[in-house]
Amino acid sequence: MTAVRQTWQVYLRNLRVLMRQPAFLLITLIQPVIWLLLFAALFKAVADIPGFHGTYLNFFTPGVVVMLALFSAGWSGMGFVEDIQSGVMGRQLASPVWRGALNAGAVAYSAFAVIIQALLIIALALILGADFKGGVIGVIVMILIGALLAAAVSSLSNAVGVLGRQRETVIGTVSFFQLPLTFLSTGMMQKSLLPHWIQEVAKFNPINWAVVGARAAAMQRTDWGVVGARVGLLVALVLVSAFLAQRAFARYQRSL
Amino acid sequence: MPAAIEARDVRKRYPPDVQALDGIDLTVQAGTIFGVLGPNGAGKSTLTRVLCSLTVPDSGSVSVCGIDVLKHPVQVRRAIGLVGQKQGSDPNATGRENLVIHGEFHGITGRVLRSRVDEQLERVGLSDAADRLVRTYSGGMARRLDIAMGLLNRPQMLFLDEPTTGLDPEARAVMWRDIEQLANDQRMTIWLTTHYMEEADSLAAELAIVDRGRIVAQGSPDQLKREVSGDTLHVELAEPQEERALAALARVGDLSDVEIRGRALRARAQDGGATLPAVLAALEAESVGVASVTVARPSLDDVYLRYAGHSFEQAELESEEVAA
Repeated sequence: MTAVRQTWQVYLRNLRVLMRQPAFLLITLIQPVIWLLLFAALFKAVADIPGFHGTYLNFFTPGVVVMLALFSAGWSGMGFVEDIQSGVMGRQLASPVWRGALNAGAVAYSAFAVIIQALLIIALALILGADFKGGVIGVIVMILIGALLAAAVSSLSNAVGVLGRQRETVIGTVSFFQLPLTFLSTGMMQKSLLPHWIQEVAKFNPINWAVVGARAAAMQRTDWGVVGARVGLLVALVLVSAFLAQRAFARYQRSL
Repeated sequence: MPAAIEARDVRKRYPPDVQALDGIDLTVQAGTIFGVLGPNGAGKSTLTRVLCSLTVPDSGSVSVCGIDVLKHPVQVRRAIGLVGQKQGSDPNATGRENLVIHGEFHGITGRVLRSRVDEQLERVGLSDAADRLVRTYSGGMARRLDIAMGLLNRPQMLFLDEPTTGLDPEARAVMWRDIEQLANDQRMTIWLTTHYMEEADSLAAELAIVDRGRIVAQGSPDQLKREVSGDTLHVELAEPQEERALAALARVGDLSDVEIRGRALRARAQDGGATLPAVLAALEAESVGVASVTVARPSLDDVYLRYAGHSFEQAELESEEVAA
């Protein structure tokens, strides 16, 4: 009970920062919006490649939702870097707060922010003419898959933040992984058109789990078998990431 | 009544080769302001962090408020309040929000929390600024908020780690008054680290002098000063002539702890007034010009010099060099 209350407080703290500067949410949205508009136009002709099914916009929309989850939640660890540098972290650790609440609250906030952003992107895709064959339920599941990926990425980013204690470490790590993980997935290109080795690598790429799950949920008559398997993998990843974050926090405290 | 703090042979080393705590033995009685004086880098903050369960020592035993810090860190965290060296509040939240989240972290909720938050805001005079972002606070206001946060859980013991560093003289005077009031009104045990001599001198009932990870002296400020018998001679030379000045003073009896840096020369004598003519004559004989002379009763500076074997000022300079 106390753990839930304390997690909620950490979540609220993050949320209040957002409410005071909603522009920040829009700033992190600019990139996915540009991707959606630009790539959908740029790669329109991809749909003409023999073997490609449907329009590129329909294909690419789940990819954008997943990419925004990766990009938005990736910066979560910056908050901890700031807290360490400002002294807030020391004060928190000197209180009897349940340590897990510090990570869990930030993770919950990352997931929430991604849900809001995903809704905006989906609205834009609808305006552009995307066809969500999975219906409302399918779209909700796609958003939740984005939130799950965001939760896992947020924990990992927080771990990097408390271990590195420098903005540069978080920026460097996030930039290092973002694009390769995106390109080693079926986010932008249909699996059958990818080189064989990328198809193999993608099987182990959580970004691809999320893309495949989101696409199977929202863009066709929902294939629950495919969705369920990917959601299961992502839930496992969320738990493993949270565990790693907890270890990172413990290590940070020992290093004080 | 158990001692507020008991520490035995506490050691902590930061790899590769910083021995931050080098065998600290300490007993602090409850209900007093206990000052910990030392230059930057002496180990004050590391010791404070160990006592507050923020970090674990390599060896030794520590208890705070009768609780074993290593075995029951969470209980210690409930019993204490900490005001760290850095500002501990979130600049992007209001004063009230900071207090509320801190209270929740201590398991204080609902109406009790709301009334305690109001009480603390009132106490530190931040009621009017409670709903402003901390970012807009002055340094003194932010520090007072830190104190309010430290007191919110009604701790048995309050740790203040260099609470006045970085404050302007006016805010520092206010902080001193607050600290004294806390000790008098609430009979609270207060741990106060500082590198300001005058702060330790005027606030601390009991004082430990820390140097290079060790406690080199402990007692009340008056007691410590009494133990340093004799006077201090401060001689300002007309020109920096260290070697000749040292040679001259070597011939004067009744002088000890001679230290010279640039034009500032300082030495201790049993009877400063009586030794002064001999000192001046010796310097004259070596044709070392003298610009001014003062004879002073012992200060904490002298106490530090005597126990640490080097002057406080010099230790501060060295620690800055290490930091740079």
